[in-house]
Amino acid sequence: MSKAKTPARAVGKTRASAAGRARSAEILRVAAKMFFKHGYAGASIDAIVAEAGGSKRDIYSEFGGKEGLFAAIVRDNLNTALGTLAPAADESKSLQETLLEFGMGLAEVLSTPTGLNLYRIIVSEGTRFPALAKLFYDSGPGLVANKLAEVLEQRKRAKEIDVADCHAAADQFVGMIRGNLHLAVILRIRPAPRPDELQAFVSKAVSTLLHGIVSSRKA
Amino acid sequence: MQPARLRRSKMFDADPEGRQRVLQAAAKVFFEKGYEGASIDLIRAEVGGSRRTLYRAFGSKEGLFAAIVRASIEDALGCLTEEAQRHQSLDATLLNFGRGLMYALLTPTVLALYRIVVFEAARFPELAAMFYFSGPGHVAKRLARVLEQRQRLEEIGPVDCNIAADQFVSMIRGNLHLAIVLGLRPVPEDPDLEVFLAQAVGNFVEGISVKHRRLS
Repeated sequence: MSKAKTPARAVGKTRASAAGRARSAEILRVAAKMFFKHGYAGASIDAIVAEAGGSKRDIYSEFGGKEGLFAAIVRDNLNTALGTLAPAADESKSLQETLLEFGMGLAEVLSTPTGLNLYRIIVSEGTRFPALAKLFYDSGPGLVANKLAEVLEQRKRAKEIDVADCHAAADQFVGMIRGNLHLAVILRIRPAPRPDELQAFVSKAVSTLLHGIVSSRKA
Repeated sequence: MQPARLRRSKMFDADPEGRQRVLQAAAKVFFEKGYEGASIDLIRAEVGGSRRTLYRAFGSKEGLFAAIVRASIEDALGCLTEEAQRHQSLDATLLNFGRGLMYALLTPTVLALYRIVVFEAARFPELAAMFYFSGPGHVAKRLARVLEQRQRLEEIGPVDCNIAADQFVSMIRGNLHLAIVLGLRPVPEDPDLEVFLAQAVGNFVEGISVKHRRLS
């Protein structure tokens, strides 16, 4: 293994870095698998090296060790998971449509294997890695809630909605989307919902946020 | 054996503080050692007493985990009994229940259990199922029955009460809860929690949309 790598390192810079990038990607892939499966304490650098190839020294020189490797897989997977997490506010759309878009974007991200794995590991390790916990929160659930709160503020100014605290309402909507259904999937009690199930689930959350549970009585 | 068992379980019934002490010690051990590393012996080392007493009262490590979860939601569930709800508006019942649930979720013990179970579900599926059905699933189910009853009284519209109950429980367990789980912010002061709860109840019951506001 290490013999095959030495020439690549010695040769021209571009080839070396291409090989290096491939090796880093492989380390990240295997490390993610190990951390997600065994947790931070249970994952071993030796086991990662055994499967990904390379050497322990590669990991230390590139990632600085186990903590650095963990941080790298969290960042890497966060980038993969986020995507259309918070759509741009579009005032030409109805609030209902906008909420559906926000809700679906979030629900989809939460139900992907990467989203589920990240949530599990960050919740269990977050207090040990405050900087990563903050990165996760700020670029995921916190971001969605902030963008949504902006949308709600805008609609409040337009007198479409009547709500004391737009941030609290956004927080509660995010909570509904990341509700017991998500928790049951996180706990592996049920499989991730199908897209049509998600759609139905999200539209009911939107309807409750907009109209509450009493409305249809007098509507 | 039988008389001894009766005597011991009675002793725990008559000693809720002792029971509470055992559950707190168990939570501490689960938190420090993880679920796999925890054992009845380690828990006994914290609280003393006999191994047999702990086994008789809780059955197993898993039983202790379940007992912590169930004890934590007693107050919330207490707000949903018929007696507690008598002459109470829907809003008041939701507020009391939501408060009980919120306080339960934010205790150091339950925060620790939540962090553990979310990750350990792969290795301990029975633990995960037990957690869900004694905790979040259970409170939602009990709330759903209350909503159905209110629906029969036409206090609420023709919504699916199981889904609505899930939604309310989940509003209480929103981003505020997540940020605390992640250690990013401290538990808010009581008055701030009251404001949050009142808003959750208001938004859940009446919605935020202007044209659908109650005319009261």
